[in-house]
Amino acid sequence: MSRVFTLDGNTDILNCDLTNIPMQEFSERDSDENKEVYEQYKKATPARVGIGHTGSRYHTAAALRFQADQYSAANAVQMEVPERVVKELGLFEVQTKCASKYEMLTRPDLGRLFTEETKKIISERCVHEPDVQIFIGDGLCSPSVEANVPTMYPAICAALEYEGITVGTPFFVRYCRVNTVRTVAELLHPKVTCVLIGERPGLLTSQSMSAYMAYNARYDMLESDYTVVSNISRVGMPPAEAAANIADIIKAMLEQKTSGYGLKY
Amino acid sequence: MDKTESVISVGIDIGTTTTQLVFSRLTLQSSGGYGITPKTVVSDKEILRRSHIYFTPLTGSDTIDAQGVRRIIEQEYAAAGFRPEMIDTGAVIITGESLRKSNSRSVCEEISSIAGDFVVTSAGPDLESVLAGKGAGCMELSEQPENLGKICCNLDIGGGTTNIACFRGGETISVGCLDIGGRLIRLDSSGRIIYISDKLRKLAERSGIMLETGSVLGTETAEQVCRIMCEVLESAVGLAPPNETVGYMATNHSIDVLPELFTFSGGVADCISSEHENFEFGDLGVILGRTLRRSKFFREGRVISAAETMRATVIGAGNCSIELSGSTIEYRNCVFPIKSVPVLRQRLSCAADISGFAERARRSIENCGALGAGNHIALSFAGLKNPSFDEIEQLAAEISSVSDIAGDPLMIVVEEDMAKVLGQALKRRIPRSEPLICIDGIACGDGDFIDIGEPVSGGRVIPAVVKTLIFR
Repeated sequence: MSRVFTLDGNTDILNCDLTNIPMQEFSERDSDENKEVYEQYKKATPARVGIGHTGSRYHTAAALRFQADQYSAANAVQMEVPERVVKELGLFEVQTKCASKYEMLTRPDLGRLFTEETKKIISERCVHEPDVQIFIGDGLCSPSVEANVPTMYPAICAALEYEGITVGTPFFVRYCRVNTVRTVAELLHPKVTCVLIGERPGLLTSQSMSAYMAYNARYDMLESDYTVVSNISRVGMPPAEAAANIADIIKAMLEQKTSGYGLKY
Repeated sequence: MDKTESVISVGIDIGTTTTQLVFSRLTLQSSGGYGITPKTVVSDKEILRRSHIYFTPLTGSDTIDAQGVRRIIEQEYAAAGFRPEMIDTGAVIITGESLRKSNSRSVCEEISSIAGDFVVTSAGPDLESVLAGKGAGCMELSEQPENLGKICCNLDIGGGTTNIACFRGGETISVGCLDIGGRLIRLDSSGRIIYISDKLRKLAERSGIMLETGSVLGTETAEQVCRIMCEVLESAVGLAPPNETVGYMATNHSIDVLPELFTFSGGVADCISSEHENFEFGDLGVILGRTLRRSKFFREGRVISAAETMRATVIGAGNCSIELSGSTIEYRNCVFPIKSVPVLRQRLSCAADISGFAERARRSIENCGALGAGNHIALSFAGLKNPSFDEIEQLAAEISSVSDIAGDPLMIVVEEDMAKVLGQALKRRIPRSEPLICIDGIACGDGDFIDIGEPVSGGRVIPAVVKTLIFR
């Protein structure tokens, strides 16, 4: 019985990063039987189909891939965004009231608040009352910042500025939760507040990002006042295209003076 | 939140033998919101009215009676209760031997202008095969779970041609067309041959059957001729050993795959299952149908009955010719519809292809100008899977440097999801007053033509028809 590897036959599965292989190319089967059918399945979904088994067990490569994806997801949550990345993006950094990653995970309420001192820094360093305030947060997925923001942020700004929309001073928030949007909005009073924030990773990707946007965000706004673009990653919505879409949504918010459920887009 | 809207579509098929219309309602469903990339799809197709089936009016052996066709169209619009301005989209397709008539192009264009604003003209045996296959339900058949991986083949046997389309998993994988049909011989009421196609006469001669106009065609001879035609079809799909007659009888080319499941559509398909008098229609259709029923298709192949037979092509034209762009696209200052713009395919599928894009595009635009293709073209390319902002900026700079010779509006058609970001970058580089369309999710090849309709789904999606145009 011949074994079909879409994995390169020479790949040493014990000595390579299996997570680099796109799931749609990750296939290991015992024969060529129904090859076309498997190809269709693989093309249709990034789910783990056609990965082979021996008796009731996965093949070694598939089992390792499961573990690798699991750990890279867990890592993505636990990891810190390196200072280097923040610097390269040309952002200044602030931190929420959380003292550590662990605290951010266990105390979401603190992940949206700043100390008085931090508030002062933001207030001093940022332009007040711009049309749009964009800031970046690590959220539940640190690697998504480096993976997506370098493409997204300049694309959003270029599109907004072309439309004559003013964009505020961007910054990076460590240990950031989505609702930091409310706190930032109360400080700087932009018309639209937008956070680009890492989203909870899964087995498929540990680099995906969401944009949460709200018109006239306040402490007492409703969750349904947020407009969200999610699943931004190289296996989801491409970051460049997502950025263009986000810019258009922001433009629509400014025109309609609303966001979330009330926005017609 | 899912939103739906509907559009009215018309299909008009002017075939070798018959002319028909179909009116349908297409439901467009757009999904979006939390966690879902916006997407608009055709979620439902409902046929509102099938016209009568008319004989295609001819004024001579080489010309279509344009006035006659026009009368049929107007009569059917009135009967259906539609005015041209109520029709959102659709296609006029001129098929089979009608395509080879001297005035086919002008008739087709005239009809599309009276049929509705965004009713496009299309022609060409390959497109016809695909539309017939879709109309016959063969494409859907290939998507059924039990047929996964199997090649499903539709043979649309009309008066003059047999259009073959093969599908696998909902995708067209091979098409072909043979000059085989029910009306390659026509008889008068006394059984004399009043017309025989040249190709068929020569094919029959090879087997020692001499056919001449004016002579009486007996049932036995007719059966022999039909068996010969049937054998050509069997070889074409691999049920019989390869045979040089397939190449001889090909309109353009045959298929290059081996199908497992078959459906039959077209006028002759109706004669497969139902009994008729031998020469009831004054042609070979009835006997050809009967011969097919006894052929290897039914003995050795698996035949599944088609969703539509006689009307497969026209339903395909009305229901299946339209494609929807991706939902993140960019356009401005355009007047829709924009019809029959020739497509120039460019190489651009990785970042390394960006540099030199302008030069290559310029050269191909100039070349096509030299061929007299007019002064408006659409640039099409595969695109980049995950472009960075810098790559988009570079590409936009390259494209905008040829915008002066690409005609108005500047048209960019890409496959990968990148049209909105590219469109925005282009907008920043060309003067604000200049029109621009940048759409994705649509594949087209060099030499195709593209029609762009009025945006739908709140302006987020553009309907397009990609087609080949081959007129004599």
